[in-house]
Amino acid sequence: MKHHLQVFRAAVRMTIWDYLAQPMWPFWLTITPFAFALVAVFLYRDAPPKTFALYVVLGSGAMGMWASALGGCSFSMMQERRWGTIVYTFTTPASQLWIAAGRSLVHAVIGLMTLAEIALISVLFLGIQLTIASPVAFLLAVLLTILAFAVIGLFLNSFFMLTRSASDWQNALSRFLYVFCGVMYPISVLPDWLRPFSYVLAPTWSLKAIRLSVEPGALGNSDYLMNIGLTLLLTMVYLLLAWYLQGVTEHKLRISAELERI
Amino acid sequence: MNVVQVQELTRIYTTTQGFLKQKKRDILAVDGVSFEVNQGELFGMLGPNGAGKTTTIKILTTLLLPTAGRALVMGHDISRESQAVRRQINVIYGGERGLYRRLTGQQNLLYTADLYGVEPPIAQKRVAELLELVGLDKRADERVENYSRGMAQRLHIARGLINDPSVIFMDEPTIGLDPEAAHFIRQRIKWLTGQGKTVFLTTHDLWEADQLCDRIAILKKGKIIALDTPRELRRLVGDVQVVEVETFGMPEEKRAGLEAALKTSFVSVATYGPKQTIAIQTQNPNEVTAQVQQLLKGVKVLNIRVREQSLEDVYLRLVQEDKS
Ligand SMILES: Nc1ncnc2c1ncn2[C@@H]1O[C@H](COP(=O)(O)OP(=O)(O)OP(=O)(O)O)[C@@H](O)[C@H]1O
Ligand SMILES: [Mg+2]
Repeated sequence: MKHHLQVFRAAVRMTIWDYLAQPMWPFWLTITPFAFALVAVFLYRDAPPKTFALYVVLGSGAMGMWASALGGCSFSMMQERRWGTIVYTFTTPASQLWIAAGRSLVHAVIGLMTLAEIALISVLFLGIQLTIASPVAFLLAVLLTILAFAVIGLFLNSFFMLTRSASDWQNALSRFLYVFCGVMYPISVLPDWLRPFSYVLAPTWSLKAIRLSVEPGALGNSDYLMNIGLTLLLTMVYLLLAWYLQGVTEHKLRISAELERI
Repeated sequence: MNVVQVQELTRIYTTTQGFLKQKKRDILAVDGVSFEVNQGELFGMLGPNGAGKTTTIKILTTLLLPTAGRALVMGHDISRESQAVRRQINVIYGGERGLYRRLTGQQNLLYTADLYGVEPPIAQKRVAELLELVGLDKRADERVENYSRGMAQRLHIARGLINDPSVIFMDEPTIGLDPEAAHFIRQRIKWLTGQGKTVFLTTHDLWEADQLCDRIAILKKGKIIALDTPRELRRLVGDVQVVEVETFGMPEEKRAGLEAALKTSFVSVATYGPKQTIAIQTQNPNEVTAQVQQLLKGVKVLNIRVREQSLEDVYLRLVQEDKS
């Protein structure tokens, strides 16, 4: 366990080093969330003020989080392949799952920073009033949202390891997820047969919990608590699946010799 | 103690081609290989391109699973106890790949140290020592993308020693380096065995193998065709000497004539622009010298001499004579 934590910390630190070493990072952190926010503003121009605030801030923030969690994790893996570093890390005693966990967490937090930024933009420039009635409930929901996104990055890690075109896949996947997670609208607008997809995504519930936490007395609200519970449950399920898939993937890669292909 | 024990190791790659109609093709890369490497030994593996050297290293370092056969590294089975193996080994593939290019040399080493579970205070100290060992201490804070190829390869040596491994696998560590840089790396490899480390080395530089290795295995089409000390390998092909002839603009038919006339001896021809170097391995150098002078009448002969055979002569003979 001590070694796992050391690997996790190392992966966090390395991901930050690598992120900050890229010339584009200030751009990613500013322009992209701004663009997401703008889309949301136009979409909800005519909505009542309360809906407007929630969907502009949360919707575009969640989009930013998806983009960062998926984009960041797939990009990291593509890079590992391109540079040939994966061939070396694979044969260290470090668990690939813990490396991926560190990486996913950083990308989820970066995603959260875009959400915070969008909130700031909305308050300062769009005249949106944001009041958080239950700060504790809000904080809890936000932390769980980070976890929910990080675990999805982790869950997809084995898939990104198997494919040579992780970035293309994540691109296709993230569009899909924007829809299913109801980032820009309540999922109740989706046709019935599509809804189960949303229900198995942990962020669907954690985002709903955030939405509920802005209202007073959220901690005693059974709806809020249910959303928190579902997020936790799904996160556990994802963790177990990630752990299982990682083992299968590594065994498969040692047979197929696909890891060195670019 | 046998640090590496390999029994009947076999590896088949299965590749698929085509999209709708997938065609499967099997490539037998390693074909029932058995050998042992002893503690503190510098074991070399030579062989033509595609012989299966890198594949052998990838199996022994737990990157790939064997299709059949068994291998133990430090007493642990590479298939079933990969974690135990990984803790005690490290690997260096030649070339610049395998480094985080946007991170500095030092950051690369610190990250690797953590992956190997080296205690942070020890890691700090070791990183500094290793950077000095490979002569990168002055450039440790520069990004790897600014390093020259030789610097990147030296950083790989440091990376490969970060967990103080008992066995180090090196796949062509001096590939593409200038003579001075290659010399530098060879010195470090020699130094490692002085520290009690076991080194498994592949190379195409026969002089390098001759200088460094305690024992050498020659691999061809996935099979070991010879395995012995460099000295014994020389003896294996008999007590022969080499008549070396340098010619200028030798026509092709002369070459064929030469090979036909000297079929009892082993003839190899290397061409350097308009010049050729013909090496004839023979037990009767004087006789052959006279014969060659006769046969090459009309061709400009620059130099002719008799020398002891090198490992390269032995290698060429073993690899080319073996018709399997
Ligand atoms: N990932 C792979 N998929 C399919 N075939 C492969 C793969 N890697 C190697 N091979 C094949 O296996 C055989 C052995 O390759 P290997 O790389 O082990 O040879 P080598 O002795 O290291 O050669 P070189 O001296 O050129 O480095 C070759 O025929 C090669 O084409
Ligand atoms: Mg090779």
